[in-house]
Amino acid sequence: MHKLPACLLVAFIGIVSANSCKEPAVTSKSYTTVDASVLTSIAYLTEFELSCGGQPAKIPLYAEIGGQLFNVVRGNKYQVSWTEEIAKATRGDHIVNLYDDEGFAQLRKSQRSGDAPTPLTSVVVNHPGAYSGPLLNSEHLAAITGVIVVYIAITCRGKLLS
Amino acid sequence: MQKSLAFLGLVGLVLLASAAELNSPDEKSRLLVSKQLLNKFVVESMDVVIKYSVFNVGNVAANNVQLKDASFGPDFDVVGGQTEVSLGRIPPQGNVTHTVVVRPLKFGYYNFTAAQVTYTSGEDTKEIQQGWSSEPGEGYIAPFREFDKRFSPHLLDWAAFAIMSVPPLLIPFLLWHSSKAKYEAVLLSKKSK
Repeated sequence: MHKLPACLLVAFIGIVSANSCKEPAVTSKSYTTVDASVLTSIAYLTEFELSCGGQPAKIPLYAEIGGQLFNVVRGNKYQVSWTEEIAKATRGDHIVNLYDDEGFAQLRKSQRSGDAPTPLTSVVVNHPGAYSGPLLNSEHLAAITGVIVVYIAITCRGKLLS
Repeated sequence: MQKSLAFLGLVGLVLLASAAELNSPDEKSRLLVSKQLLNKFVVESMDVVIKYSVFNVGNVAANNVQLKDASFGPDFDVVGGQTEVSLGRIPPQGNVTHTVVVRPLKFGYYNFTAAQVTYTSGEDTKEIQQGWSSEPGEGYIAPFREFDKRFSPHLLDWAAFAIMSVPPLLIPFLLWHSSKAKYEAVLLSKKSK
């Protein structure tokens, strides 16, 4: 009679332990747009695979980047992506902290109280900065060089005539 | 008398039905999906950033939201992101974004069409809802050569111009310099005498 609830309890524990990820490891591939001459925003993308204790995992994940919460979408791999306007885009490493269901609930609570829980794992997206055209246009450089040459020639002529 | 009562009853029923309709809000999740190109120009073999924003304007969470964009055929190279993803659960009034970066391999006019979204409304319905994103529409993918002609710094062209402008400056200077040297030599020999 008491066997059935015991079975259910075992099954429940099984689900819980399957959801919490032990020894998480990620292999990630990141991409950011580095040529901003045709863009209005910089895109940051990271695609990663998660394994828990050597086994590939497919648990729901949530991401936190610099205090902002983002969703983690799932295709063949997990993906976190966001965009920033070119003027607001920052160079360097962007740390994507990943949380599971439990961690995310704690994180939301902590956003009100203060202390953040430790993330399950994290991924780094490096943005080396984007090229948005030359600092000085070459036609302007050519015009400046021309003016300098003319100035030198006129001063030399002045010296010779005097 | 009976007829008029029956009529009143009917009116009452209709009113009741409409009141019931007003009282029980439409328990459904509704997704609005926008597909945007975050580009000033779309150029062959240069990055095109596509951002999908999904808003749930309904009053129930949308579950098992799947986004699929099959509009990029063999003419595009997906360099970042996935075109077929599961967005999971979107709470009411919540929004989710997804970004993909592609590079067009050919130039010319191209019609950027909609992405497909499927989801189930609420927790217990099995019925799959289907929706489409907004369409960015037809755009011109500029050839890389044309873009380069307009926006590259043209360093090689300007270097060629600089080299070509050197002889007209240098030849008169050298002629003048040699005649000056000769004149000075004559002047020096006269002085020494």
